Amino acid sequence: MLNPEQIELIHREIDGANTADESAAFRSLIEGNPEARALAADLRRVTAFLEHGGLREPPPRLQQTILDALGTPARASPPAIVRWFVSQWRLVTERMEAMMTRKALLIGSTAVAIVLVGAALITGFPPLGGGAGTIGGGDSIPGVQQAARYHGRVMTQADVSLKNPEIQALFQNDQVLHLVQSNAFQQVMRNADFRALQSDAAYNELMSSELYHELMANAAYHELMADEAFRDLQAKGAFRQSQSAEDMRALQDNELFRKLKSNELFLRLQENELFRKLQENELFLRLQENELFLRLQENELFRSLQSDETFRKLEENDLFRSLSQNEQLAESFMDEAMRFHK
Amino acid sequence: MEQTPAADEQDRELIRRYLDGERDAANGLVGRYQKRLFNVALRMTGNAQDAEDATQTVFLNAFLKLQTYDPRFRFFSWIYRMAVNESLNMLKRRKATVTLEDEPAIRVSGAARTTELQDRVGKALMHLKPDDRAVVVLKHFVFFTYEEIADVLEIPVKTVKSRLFTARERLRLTLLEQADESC
Repeated sequence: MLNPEQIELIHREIDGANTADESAAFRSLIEGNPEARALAADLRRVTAFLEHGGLREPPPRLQQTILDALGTPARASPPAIVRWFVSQWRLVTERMEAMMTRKALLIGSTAVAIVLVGAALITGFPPLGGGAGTIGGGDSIPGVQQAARYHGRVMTQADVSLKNPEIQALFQNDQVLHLVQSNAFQQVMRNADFRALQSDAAYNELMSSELYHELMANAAYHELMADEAFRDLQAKGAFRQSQSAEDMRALQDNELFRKLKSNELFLRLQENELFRKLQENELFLRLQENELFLRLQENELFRSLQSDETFRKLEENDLFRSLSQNEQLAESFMDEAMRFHK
Repeated sequence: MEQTPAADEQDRELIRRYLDGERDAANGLVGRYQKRLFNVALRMTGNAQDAEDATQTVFLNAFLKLQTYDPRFRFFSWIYRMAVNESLNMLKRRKATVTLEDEPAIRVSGAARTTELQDRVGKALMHLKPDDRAVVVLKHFVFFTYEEIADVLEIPVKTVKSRLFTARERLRLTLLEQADESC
């Protein structure tokens, strides 16, 4: 007869909640106790039974129905925004208070303020408001900073013209000009999936994240993305399931997965900390379910552009992101690049 | 799947943007959570139409109350709690007209009919007490840790484990009975 502690040990093992020592105790228990072994086997069957089939897709209309019901969000009243920032600040200070005494906090804050003011005196104060100061300056690729004024408004042909100083600034950059004039870029820009992906929030957020940048610079990742078996598995969502459920058993019967397990690149990538982090990144996981993104991954040109630092910077630029969603504006952008002369 | 601090931060950013009037942010929040909330409601109510209604209600209430949402607490706990509570309310409302025994496991129409095994999963879940079912659903369908489940349901971790272990034992016996019947 198993005692309550032994039963809990078995359940926790099934849930992956045991420490290394507890797992060793579990293994020892099931080796010497047939009742424990039978219970563990039954519980694994229950778990496999429950998790069979994974998550069901919600009805395709659900998201739009919710958004339609919401209507246009009323801009939050200033007090609501103030309340939000106050509560955020409270959150930060509460965490800081856990680490510092009140006195140390005062000294620390004063020191930070002095450093900030000093730095501002040397480098100049940042401009107020979102419109000015988006071209040129401190970024590693001049001319490719965020131009937030284009976010969320309808662009016109006039925005995509050499008369627009921001377009000029983009093309003044040799790397950008070279990229935009390249065959790979032009073909990807003419790809309808790519244009549609530009308005996907998850894609845009992920493109701006440091983690994604680092992974895109990883050669092993690109080699693996070029592997059809890996992409097929991603498209089936099986890989995601194996990561989230911590249950690799269901995958063992999957022929693609077996093939992938013998793939040296895959093994290398599994050991890569960046890749592991990315697999836990909600945005990345959402992108793995995005048909447009998966289809684009089959496109060799798109994959090669993804590893291009200039392209990634360009993707973070609101002006570019907005114009690239529209076929005509994207064409104009490329036309303007072709006729640009310094 | 444990909710990471980075995911919490992304939630906060989307909420801030929504409160600032950006419609895209609502799209982002719905996109992040709709599938998992729908599945929680589906497994809790055992009915696809109810799950869809519950998911809609949860999101609409959430957006309505976002201005009073306190970001010191994790958004995902808050919205999952709403999903579980809405599903429980739906079950109570339904109880007045339909008994549990009459209810098919997961009713879906036409081509979307689930496999026999998934039906069995749904039926087995519906034989659990709703409180126990909530723990099983959060553990096995959205892969929360004991601590996260405790946070969502606002119960001690000890209670989470007790309910989960009891529910799984009951499911184990149900499966054994079903296996005997099919012999």
